[in-house]
Amino acid sequence: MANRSLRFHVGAQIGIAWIILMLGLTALGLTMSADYVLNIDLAHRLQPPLMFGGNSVNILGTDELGRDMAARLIKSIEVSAGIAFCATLLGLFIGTAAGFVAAEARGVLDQLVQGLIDFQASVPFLIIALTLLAFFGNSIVLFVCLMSLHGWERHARVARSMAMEANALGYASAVRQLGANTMRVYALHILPNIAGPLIVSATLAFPEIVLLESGLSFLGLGVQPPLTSLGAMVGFGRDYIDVAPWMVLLPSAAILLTTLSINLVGDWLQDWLAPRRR
Amino acid sequence: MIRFVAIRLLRAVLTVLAVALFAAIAMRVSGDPAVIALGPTAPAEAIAAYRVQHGLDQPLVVQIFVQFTALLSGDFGISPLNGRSALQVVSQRVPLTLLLAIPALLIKVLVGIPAGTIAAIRQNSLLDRLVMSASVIGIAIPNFVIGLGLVLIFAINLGVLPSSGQPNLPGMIMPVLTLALAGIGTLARFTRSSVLGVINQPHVRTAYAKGLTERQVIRRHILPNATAAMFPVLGLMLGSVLAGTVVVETLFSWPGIGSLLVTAVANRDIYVVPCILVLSSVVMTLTNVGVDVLQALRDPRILQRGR
Repeated sequence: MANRSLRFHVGAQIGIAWIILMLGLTALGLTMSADYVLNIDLAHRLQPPLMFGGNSVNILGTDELGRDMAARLIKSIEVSAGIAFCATLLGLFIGTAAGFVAAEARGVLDQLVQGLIDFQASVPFLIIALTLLAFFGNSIVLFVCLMSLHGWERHARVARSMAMEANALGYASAVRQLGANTMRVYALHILPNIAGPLIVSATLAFPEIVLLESGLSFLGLGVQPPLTSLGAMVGFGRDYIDVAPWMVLLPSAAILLTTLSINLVGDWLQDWLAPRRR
Repeated sequence: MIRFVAIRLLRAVLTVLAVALFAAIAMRVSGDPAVIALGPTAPAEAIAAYRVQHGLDQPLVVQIFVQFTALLSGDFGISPLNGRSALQVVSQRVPLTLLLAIPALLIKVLVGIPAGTIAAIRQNSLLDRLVMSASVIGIAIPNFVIGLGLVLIFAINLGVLPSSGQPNLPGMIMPVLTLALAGIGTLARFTRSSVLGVINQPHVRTAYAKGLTERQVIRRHILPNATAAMFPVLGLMLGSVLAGTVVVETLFSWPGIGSLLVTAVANRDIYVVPCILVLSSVVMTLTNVGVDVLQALRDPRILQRGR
């Protein structure tokens, strides 16, 4: 049997290291003034990173407007990770609530929730997302809500089946007979007991949302300037790929490290929290 | 079996109806079609006349119903961008997208399934670790990063392939590779775990015990059982290829449905977008029905479970 301790899981250690570094950079980003990130310096445009013969002021080079790549990367990591984090939490909330409602109400409401799950699974989410963007335009709040719709159906499926299982067990009916109302039974008794699989489901959703957000921003349909995200940086850098490949490679590497880290940590969490599912 | 197919088909029809209804509501609730058709500078009388002419003065529910029935009869409206019917604009692009999607799906299956099988049979070997590490990275990497990496290597550094896709063989190579590589890891991983599920079962041990070679056991006893569990993933693969074409076609300026969708969304073309949405839901649900039926033919136990 595989040892589930973190000590033996090198991938998860690397993943956690990058996540901590990312959080540190995000904290650093919050203290950075907006002027510094947006500072345009046309005299020093398209400078290569230090290790490829660049200057020591802009250690990761500059972009097409002479803005510092390091500062923009930190800002982008902050935005991308922030969007993915908010959207994952919101999606987890929506999915869990829908799953609980389906499990409690059964009947028509259950059918409705299952119909919505089928609906979402019937079309690639990217196409649904693009349709909603076409009809309702784009703003950062709307965009986060849109991203949260990705993966809610998996959380809902998990929450629904686990809550049905839990309801059949003694503890749920025991607290019900003690007079706890439905909200209390679900929030204080069932939720803590099924949190493991839900957290695993969320760690699956998070990297997918990072990929989705970066894909849409790459296409120019996600995060809009002056705000920037990792995908948007790759999208704008694409036009300069032959003269300044670092503009594409640096944010690409940041995306890859982020999704890879969460996947590795998720694998380990899955072994640790829900060993039954292998 | 007939009952099973009928139930699946009914569910597929209901799903497509739901997608069409969603599209109809979105088309009527967002923005004013009269302003979109005539432009924001059109005089108020012209807009009013257009509204009466196209039934936009009716109650919202009636409008949504009219739109819904129009979508179902294949009338997606006239695209304001080029003045032709949306269905025409979209269907013209279908062959070019298939030209990318079909080879990409083939490569995915022909590489992903053998790689996963070998990894499972040689579990914990160097090869297994290699395949698994590659697939972990393959799952984490965005498709546009794969595409730009290929451009950087083959178009810019080596200069052997064109970076924007003309619909010919050299122009196809990079878009097809990008589509195929994204998601191949998921397939390899899934194949590995399904083969691992079969490999330790008694009938496989019996097959070895009666003296079959490893090749025979894999071909006749392991793969048929493992693939039965893998049909649903092939449905998912189609979905990921469909979504992938959106990014890949834009990246390589390939004139297929995916790049059309991006242009349509950027220009808020409210006729082409629902057309693509409804058509792709039809393709996806029909594929899923086909996959379900194939799976049931392969594994009749599903018929009992599906009741």
